[in-house]
Amino acid sequence: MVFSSLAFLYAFLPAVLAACYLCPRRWRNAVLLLFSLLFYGWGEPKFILLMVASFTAAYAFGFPIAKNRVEKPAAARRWLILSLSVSLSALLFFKYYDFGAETLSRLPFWNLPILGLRLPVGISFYTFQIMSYSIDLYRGDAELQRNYAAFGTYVALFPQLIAGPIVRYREIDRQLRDRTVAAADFAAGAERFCAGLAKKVLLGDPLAGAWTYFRDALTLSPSALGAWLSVVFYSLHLYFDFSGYSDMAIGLGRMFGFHFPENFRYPYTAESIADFWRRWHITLSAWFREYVYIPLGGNRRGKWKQFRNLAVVWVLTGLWHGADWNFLLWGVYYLVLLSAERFLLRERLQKIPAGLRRAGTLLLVFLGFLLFSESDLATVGRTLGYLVGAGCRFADLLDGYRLLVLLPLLAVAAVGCTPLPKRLFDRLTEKRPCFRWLRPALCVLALLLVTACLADRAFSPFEYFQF
Amino acid sequence: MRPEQTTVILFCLFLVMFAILFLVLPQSPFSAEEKRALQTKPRVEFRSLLSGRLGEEVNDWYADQFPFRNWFVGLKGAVEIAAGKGENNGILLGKAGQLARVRFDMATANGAIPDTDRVDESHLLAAAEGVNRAAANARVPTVFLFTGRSVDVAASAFHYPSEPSRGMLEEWESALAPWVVAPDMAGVLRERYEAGEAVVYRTDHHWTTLGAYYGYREAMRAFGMEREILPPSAFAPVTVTNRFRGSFWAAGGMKWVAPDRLEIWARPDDGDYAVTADGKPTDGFYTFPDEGAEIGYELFLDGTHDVVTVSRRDGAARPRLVVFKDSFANSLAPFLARHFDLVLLNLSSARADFTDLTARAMEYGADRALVVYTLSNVLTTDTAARFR
Repeated sequence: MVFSSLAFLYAFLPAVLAACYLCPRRWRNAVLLLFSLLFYGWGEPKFILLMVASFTAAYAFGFPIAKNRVEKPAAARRWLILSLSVSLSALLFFKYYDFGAETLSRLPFWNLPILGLRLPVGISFYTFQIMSYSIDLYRGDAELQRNYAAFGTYVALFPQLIAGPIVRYREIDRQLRDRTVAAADFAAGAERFCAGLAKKVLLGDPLAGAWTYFRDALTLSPSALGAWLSVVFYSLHLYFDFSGYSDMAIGLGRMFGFHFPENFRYPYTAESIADFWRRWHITLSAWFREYVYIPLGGNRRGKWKQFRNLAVVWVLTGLWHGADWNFLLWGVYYLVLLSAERFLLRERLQKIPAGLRRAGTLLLVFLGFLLFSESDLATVGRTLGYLVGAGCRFADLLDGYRLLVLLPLLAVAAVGCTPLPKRLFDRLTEKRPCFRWLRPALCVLALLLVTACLADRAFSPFEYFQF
Repeated sequence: MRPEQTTVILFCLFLVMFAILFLVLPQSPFSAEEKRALQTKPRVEFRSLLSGRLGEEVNDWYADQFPFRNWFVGLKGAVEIAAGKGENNGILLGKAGQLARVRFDMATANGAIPDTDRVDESHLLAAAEGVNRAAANARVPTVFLFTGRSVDVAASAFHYPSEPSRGMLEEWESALAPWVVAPDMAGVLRERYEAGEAVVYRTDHHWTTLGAYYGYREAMRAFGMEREILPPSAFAPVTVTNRFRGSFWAAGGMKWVAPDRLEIWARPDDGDYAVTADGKPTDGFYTFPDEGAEIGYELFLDGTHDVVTVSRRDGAARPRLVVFKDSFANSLAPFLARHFDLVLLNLSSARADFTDLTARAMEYGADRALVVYTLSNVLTTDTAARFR
């Protein structure tokens, strides 16, 4: 099930809110777990078993890890490795088996069958959450969770189950045991949810439509302007789609008493690539930093070790997004950019005016998304050529017309990527408190418009579902 | 009350109110406005639950039966137009409420490219090759009437650039071999439209009865039968409904666009013609729906059938015209029937393949053949490329 569907908004959400707030407090985790399983199983119920098996195993392995952590660290380490192996095996098998088999089959003497496996929705997200619990427990950063329903709720909690934010166990440990929701919390959650819903449905989806239009036009009548517009619209779409989803997840979490970490902080205003990754999919970067980069040695032990650690993280980050060469290359692309920034250009970049740094970062990020959006590397190469006018005209009449009619959307999206609207609104409400009444009005307006858009079409999936 | 409390109350109220309304309001299996079957409450079966189909059906059920859905769809259309897009769901809004589909699913060798307004040149050339082949093989005089799309005909009503569309038409015409007899139907209709005549509906993709008359005139001229053309004064236009809302209106969500007038051009001897559809007799040229139901373009020749015949009830011997057609020919048939016995074969049929024009013309004993096919179908299907 997706948040941007009428069935979610007008059946699932009222039902789960009613059930959670009407049931005794001690049952809330169990109720949330049941509804989360229903939410997850809506599209493909068979994968519920896989997810339940994964978190049940991690839950069970948690006991020997916690028991042996202090007195028998070697034994605890063995249990941790076993737990991580079990969690990762499902991810590796479903996500990477076909890719590996296909790649190896190109070599002589290898002929592995291609199984055509379907990727269980959200497996990359919940596997990382499960691993986070085992590692936090082993490190002593979190307490053993004895309550099965509470642990299941941590993994399967529907707001963040299928597209994050990736919540590390220790961030939510206390809230799983005890939480309260004040009216102000619920209101803040509802506002955040409505804002995310509007970002996704009113901006993200039309931007996706514009992107697919220009991308497809490249195959029929390529032009440089069309290529640039396809890159820009895709990048904007991805931001509004994914950050909108994160806003909804954070808002829903808040309505149920959870405080999830932020996942985006105006990434398209970043002044460098490193800054971009401190603002884009923050919880994934944090996860890799915490559980891969720092354990490998982080920034210590010299430049070559640093580069090696970066390489491991960025190859894994690329592959986490998808089992395909384009994602791997995307990871390597960022490895190159970040290494250049860190080891070669650090001081020189500081001398460049901030505006130019922002523009340069944006350009590199947008070009990088070309690798992200196209799995066919030949198409990526062709589109890169079109961007510089190779083998195509500069623009045609239809490009100009489409750009003209899409200008309002483009302008709203461009401004919406910056902190400007929020700053203006905050300043307005600060100066004139009566404008705080706009908040409930804007929520209702967002619900009205989103409902209108959803009533006009059947289904609106999320881009990040595929990961 | 504070703003936070108001947010909580309004948010919950909004969700709960529509959740309840969805459950208590009556639901309909068919949308008269959109002319399509709606998803009704899905049956819960273990198999559909396991496959995930039930989830999809429930999503569709909510989208199709949502309370005040038509109002919401209209709201979305209004917002899209207010945002300056000039179109909604691929339907352009032009002057005086003229609508036209501007996005289509372009058929290509590698599968369809959905929702585009660009033309695949190789597909267009393959379609022209099919037409050239069929015209070369024809054993009876054959005329091709490629009816223009509304966006080509009513180009002057839109800000949408008409040059690409004209370029496509020129390319199409130049790709047709010299032996293909194909009047410039899109050009004729565009000229009449610019002269202020309603030759295409504002809310539907078909030509009006007046547009169909021009099609009849062009076809007769192309057959060399100009002298036999009946003038407009030979018919008595009868308005059947002033509330015709067609396919563009249904898809575009622009509920404020006024409906069309739908008329038939009657003659006193209309009752002298026998019409059969797929072997069964029908009411004649026009089949009126039950009392209270909306009248639409299905009025002509009882809508879509694979094989339709028209002949005189008195059995008078007349030349036979086999028409290979899409739905545009349905409103053209009453004009042609004054001169020919007709056999109309549906090129879009899912059950039969009529693309071997030569063989089918012989099979149905044609004295002449006419192909009535809209350029929209040329672009979105591979039917024309399969002509022989």
